[in-house]
Amino acid sequence: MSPNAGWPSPAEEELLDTISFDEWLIESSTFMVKIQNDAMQNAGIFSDDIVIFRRGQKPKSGDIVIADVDGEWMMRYYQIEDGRPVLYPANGHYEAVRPEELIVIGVIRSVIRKY
Amino acid sequence: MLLHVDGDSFFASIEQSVKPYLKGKPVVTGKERNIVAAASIEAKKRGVTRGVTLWDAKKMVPDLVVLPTDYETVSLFSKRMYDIVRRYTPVVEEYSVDEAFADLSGLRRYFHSSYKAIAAKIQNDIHAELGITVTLGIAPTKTLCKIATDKGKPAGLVFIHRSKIDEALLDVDIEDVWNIGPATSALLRKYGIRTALQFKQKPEEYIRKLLTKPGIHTWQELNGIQAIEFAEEKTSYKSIGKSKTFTPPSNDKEFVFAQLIKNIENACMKARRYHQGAKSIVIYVRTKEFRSLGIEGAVERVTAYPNELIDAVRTMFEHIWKPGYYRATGVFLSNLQPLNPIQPTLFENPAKLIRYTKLYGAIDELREHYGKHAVHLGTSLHAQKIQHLYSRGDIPVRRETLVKGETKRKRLPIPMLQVRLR
Repeated sequence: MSPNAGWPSPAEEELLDTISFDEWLIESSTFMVKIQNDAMQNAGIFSDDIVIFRRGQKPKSGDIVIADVDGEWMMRYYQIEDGRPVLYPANGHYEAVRPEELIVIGVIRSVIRKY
Repeated sequence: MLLHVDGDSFFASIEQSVKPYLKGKPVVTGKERNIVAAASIEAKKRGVTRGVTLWDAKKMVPDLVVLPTDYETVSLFSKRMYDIVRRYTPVVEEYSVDEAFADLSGLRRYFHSSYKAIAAKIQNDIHAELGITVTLGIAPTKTLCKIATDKGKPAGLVFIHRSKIDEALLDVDIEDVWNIGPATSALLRKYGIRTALQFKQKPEEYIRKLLTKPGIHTWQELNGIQAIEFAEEKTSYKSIGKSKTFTPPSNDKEFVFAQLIKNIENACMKARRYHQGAKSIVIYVRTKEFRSLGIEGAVERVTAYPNELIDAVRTMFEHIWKPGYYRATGVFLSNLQPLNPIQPTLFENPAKLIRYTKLYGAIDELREHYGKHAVHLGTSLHAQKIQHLYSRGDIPVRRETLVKGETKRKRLPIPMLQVRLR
């Protein structure tokens, strides 16, 4: 609401085709989680980063997912091998997981690091 | 055909959704008030119900997880839940934080599916995207929808078809019907009406003699005739709105009124900044159950001075106030018009008006120098100091796990998963 609305500035018009950071980052089902380990460090996700993931999204091979393996929650690469899902870390100190049962909670959409 | 959406153990389920390690555990919220505000399905199974004291609840369930209410996260979930419903129909009435009505009429052809299939999709989306379950009731009227939902709790989906109303009402006690209070049900019982079906089958004239308008509406609704209106949200206001939540919820009338006046002072301050004044004002209070009670009033002439509004607002407040616990107040100044020059009304003393203009000119200057509420009305004194009172352990985890750049007062509007990932 502006009391003295004058002529619209042409710059305003050009900005109609932009999106806000909110629109860019937040989707209808995105959640965030604070990362507290280094299992995905070679994928560029470090401790203290904020990860934004989309809950309920079906994963594709190669996605980074948040998954529930027998009540243990982890963030890993999701890979389908021989028709079965495998969870790969991006850090040599961690092992790949071939779960019997796996619930994928969501798929990572962005990583935010604020300095 | 209408749909009723009801979040199952909403507050507790949300805690389990953002804290997955609580899944399958008995969880209650309401720590800050010492009573159970919401109980998870696991806690309910072991006898914990809403409203019991935490002390009693812990006696029943020694391993009970007790959490403070996280209103912020609950509000985020609520908004998302209704956004999901709105993907399927634009006609949604947000009845409370965890309950909504939606109109599905005419959508079958659009989605090429039955009402039940559309509802099932809504239910699935909510579960997949929010990690909580909802119960859905589909029926020709709101009152029948509520009965359907009661039958489906938890996580069910119940459809009462127009031709199957009688079957659905057979085992429903009259006091369990929406909008039938204890006095009405006691009266009906005196006349031998014990079930919803008996009530529904009485002739309309009989009910008209016995009950007043709301009762007759309920009778019509049980007979499949929509009598309770659909209250969609007003979406466009040309207005300035201010509202604030306070914790813990309060039943102190003067404190709640002080909160309201503080909002009015804030809204007026903003209006003056834009050289605008209001010709009408809406005030509302929100109960701790998130129900809103509001009233609209007209102002004699355009104003942005709290002193001029306070008497009218007091009268409006008396109209809507009912004893109980409240968690927020708010105000909308609407019908905004330029503030200067103000046209005094016929019987008004113009000198007084000029005094207010000068007074608030000075107040606004003081504000520039000394901060927002350097000078305020005595009435809002109660509300000037502490907005949120917490004791130890009463602060929701979300408020204590800030990400860089968030402050105690402001956080990002995205739910945060509270889990340590491996």
